[in-house]
Amino acid sequence: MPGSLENITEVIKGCIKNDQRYQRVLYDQYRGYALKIAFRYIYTYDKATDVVNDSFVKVFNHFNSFRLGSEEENEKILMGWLKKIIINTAIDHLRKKQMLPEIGGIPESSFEITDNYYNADQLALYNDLMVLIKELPPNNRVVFNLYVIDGYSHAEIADLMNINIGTSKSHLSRARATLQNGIKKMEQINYAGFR
Amino acid sequence: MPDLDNHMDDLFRKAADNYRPAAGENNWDKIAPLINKTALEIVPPTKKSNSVKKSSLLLLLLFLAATGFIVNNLLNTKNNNAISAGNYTPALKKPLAINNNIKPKNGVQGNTAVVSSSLITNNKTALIETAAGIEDAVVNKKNNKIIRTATRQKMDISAADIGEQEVIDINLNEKNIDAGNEHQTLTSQTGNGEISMQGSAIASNGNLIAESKKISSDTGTTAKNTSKMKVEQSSNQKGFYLGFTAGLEFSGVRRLELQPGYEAGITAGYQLSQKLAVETGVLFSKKNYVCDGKYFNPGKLDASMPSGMQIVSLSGNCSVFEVPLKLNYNIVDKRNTIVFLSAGLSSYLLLNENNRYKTLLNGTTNNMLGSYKNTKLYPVATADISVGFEKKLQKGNKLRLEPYLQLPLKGIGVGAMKITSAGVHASFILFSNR
Repeated sequence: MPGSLENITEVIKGCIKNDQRYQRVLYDQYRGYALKIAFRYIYTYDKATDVVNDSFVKVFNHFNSFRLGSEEENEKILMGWLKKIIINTAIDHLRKKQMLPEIGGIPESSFEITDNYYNADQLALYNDLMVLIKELPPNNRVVFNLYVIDGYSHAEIADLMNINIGTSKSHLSRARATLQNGIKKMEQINYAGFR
Repeated sequence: MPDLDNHMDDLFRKAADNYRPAAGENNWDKIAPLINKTALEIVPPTKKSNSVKKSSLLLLLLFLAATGFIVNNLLNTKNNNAISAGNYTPALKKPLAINNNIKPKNGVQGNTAVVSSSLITNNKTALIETAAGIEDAVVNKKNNKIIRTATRQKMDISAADIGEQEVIDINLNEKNIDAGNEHQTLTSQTGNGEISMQGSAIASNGNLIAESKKISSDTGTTAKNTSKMKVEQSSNQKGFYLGFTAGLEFSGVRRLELQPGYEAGITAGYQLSQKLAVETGVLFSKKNYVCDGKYFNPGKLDASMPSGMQIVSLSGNCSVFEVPLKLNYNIVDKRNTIVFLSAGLSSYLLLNENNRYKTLLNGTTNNMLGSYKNTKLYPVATADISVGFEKKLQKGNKLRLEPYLQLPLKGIGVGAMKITSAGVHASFILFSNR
């Protein structure tokens, strides 16, 4: 039934039929998931939101190419498909900006703050680590995200970014070095306990 | 160090899974209107401006040139027709002063030369009729003097042979004689020397029409028995010819829109018989095309394409040398016009190829460029059919317009695309022996 995500296969079938009620359900359900991916690649929150919107438009416009699997696999397939589209859209966005580093800080309002006392420090750590990633130069950031977090190989990254495999490895090496320095700085302000 | 990297990677993976960006506002209202309104373009927009302008200009120039040649040729044809045998206009029968320069040989009477005054322009070739026979004369307009003559000799005709509508072979021996020299005259006498022949013949683009009249040597009057001889000289003799060809063509792959391109090169041929010629040449061709992805074989690009990437469409161009081999068969062969059908095969030498791909990977479209400069030969790449219209010009030259269609027999380029082309060739045929 439209309005809730009780059966993902039914929602997917509704989206394939271009039924906006199911599309709305899917969007509401996976908007946060999409933003989490996009915001790793895109420096500013607003731009990341734009990437998410563009990605969903592409998703819904191309749902007829989605291939359903078994009931158990459909959500996993959908999430993988959605993730790829978001990553590609994010990289397209960065390409349009010629992979130039962004300026300006990342406001704290870009992250959710929990009221849960026990999780607060840990969530703050995770958010700070993501800021470290976002502060990488765009090329290094994209390669690090693709390789370390999203599981792409250097060959796939090279194809996707239209660069050499060696260049991809170089970007990853620089990204790791920069992040290590960032972690050391964080340790100096009492995050050492999370190592 | 690797341990440190792995530990750090795990830490960042954990952070990526668990960090929480702000929820932000729901943008469904922004997204909904865009769904199904930004669907993929199957065919990318094509640049029409420059190529179409250039092609149109080229076509216009070709058309103007062709029109000029044809009009000029038609005017000349009218003048030539005015002196055809049996159709003398009164003006043509007006004897001119130049007949004094023509000295008959062997005492033949009635050495009147008739020259079309309309033909006497500067150093124009005219046909003169004398008692001696038919002569091509180059006449200077200013003083009406013959600069040189080419005597069409010998008419060995016996009186008994001269019957109504009888066709007689005439052996044409042309001899250029400078002005002032005594030119040869034609005499044809019967065995008893009582009857001489006065012959007239008009050669116009190979059609020789001869008229012979029996003239009594005693009275000098024309006998009633007049025989018209029409001697058909083959308009298409064997021989080589060479032509310069340029043309505008439109190419496409399957049903998609045709893109303008051009061709230019050299044509060479050999006239096998009056109606049949074999022709070849080398033409440089620039073909522009738009192709749906399903007609593009990405096999050769697999190594350089991310897995799962699809080519939605592409637009591009390629440069090829075309080497056609075809047979021309004349279906109409009139005095100044030839219409022929042509069929043959063309081989391509692909020089370069430039494609702009529109790709799809996981629902995301991208534009990619591909340039390939691997020269490759494609024997028998197309089957060609055409219809040619030829207008005979002076000195054996011809102007040809030839609409054609090239149907692909095999795919060319990295995507093995089967490119169909259609267009018009304009050719200037030189030194033809026809």
